[in-house]
Amino acid sequence: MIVHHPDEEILLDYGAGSLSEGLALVVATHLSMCPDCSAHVRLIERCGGALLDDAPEHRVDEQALQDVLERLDVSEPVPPPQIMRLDPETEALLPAPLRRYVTKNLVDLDWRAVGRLLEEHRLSLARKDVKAALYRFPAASRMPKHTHRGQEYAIVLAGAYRDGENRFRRGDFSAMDASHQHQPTVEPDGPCMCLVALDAPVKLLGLTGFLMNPFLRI
Amino acid sequence: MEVQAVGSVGRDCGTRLLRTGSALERSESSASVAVTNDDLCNLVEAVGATRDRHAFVALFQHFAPRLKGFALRRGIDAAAAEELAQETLITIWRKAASFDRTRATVSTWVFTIVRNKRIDLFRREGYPAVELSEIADFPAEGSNPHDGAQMAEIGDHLREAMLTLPKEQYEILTKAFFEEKSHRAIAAELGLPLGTVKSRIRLALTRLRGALPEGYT
Repeated sequence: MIVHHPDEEILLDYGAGSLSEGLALVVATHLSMCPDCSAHVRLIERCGGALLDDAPEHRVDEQALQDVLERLDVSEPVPPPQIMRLDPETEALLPAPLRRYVTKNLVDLDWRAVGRLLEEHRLSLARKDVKAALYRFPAASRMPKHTHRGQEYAIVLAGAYRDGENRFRRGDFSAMDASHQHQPTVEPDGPCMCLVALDAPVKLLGLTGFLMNPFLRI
Repeated sequence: MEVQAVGSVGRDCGTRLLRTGSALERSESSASVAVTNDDLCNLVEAVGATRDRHAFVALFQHFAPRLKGFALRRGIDAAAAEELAQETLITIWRKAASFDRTRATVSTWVFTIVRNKRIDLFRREGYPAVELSEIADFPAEGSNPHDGAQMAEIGDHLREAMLTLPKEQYEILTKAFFEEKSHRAIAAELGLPLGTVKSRIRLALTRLRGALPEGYT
């Protein structure tokens, strides 16, 4: 059961379209697993619809309509987007929004070793100053102690980790910013896989952090 | 294409000026008539089923000015706002067959389309969204399948509820949509405690949720 959810501010930002692509992907992944948060976002989207209905009408050129009509001729109707079909293990692990970015089976993904412990599979986003990646951490490992210059959103896909008093399992969402310092620890019963998005480099703390700077490479 | 004028709350110019708060944002609605969600659903379905160009033109005439106005309120420059409106309408043309009148009003559907478009001078990036068809196990909204008329009513209730929000709640909600400001930034701008901003948004959303029938969001 999912315990940790995006707060209302994040859901409002997501619904209104204010999040960058990487952060939005983490939220969308959570939404695909969480009916309550999805319902909240639908309310936000209805607000957007109401605001659109009552938006001030600005005159649009006659030519604009002609331009669009011409473009229609080359715009074929499209079926709903097809998510790549992947093997059962991959489809069970990766929710639909994420499967637009991960287009291979998990066993075929290339993972980059980062330091001694963790592995990273970076996702391709349109902008280079925002980062989103899958991370794999071994059981019982400690993630590098760090704080954040910008925002970091994360969601657990498999396994679990502890952060202070809280335990995070599949579907659990966390948001960290410059006011948080943390050192999450993976539970001992198995490895942990997360989707993490950052909109500014993570700032590593302490000597270990200085020596090992996986997150800094953006 | 004939459309029926339907009286609806908040449509008159006076209320619109009050809500937008700016004499410059004057709607040119003296010539336009109010269209219902049902009318819009019929138009979208005509486009989806038979590639009906007349229906598309009617949709263009309804939405293009609003999309442009909406984009301008978000601080997008005029040329980009124009392009965004056009691209949105082209997407409406392409996706019309997948519109489901029992799921959302046309305006909500169009809002999600324009929200998912990221067009600016330098780059186009996607906006990760969840297609309803991808969510296998979610319960259907409400206990019964609902039709376009019910959905229209829901849409009208929501719009009415939005227009009757206390001014300070409406102001903060629209800042979140139009100015992409975080709660913190809104608090700083208005000189309010962060808690006040959070609670006004929460009150506004609670009120709006209350305007919807049981079981719907």
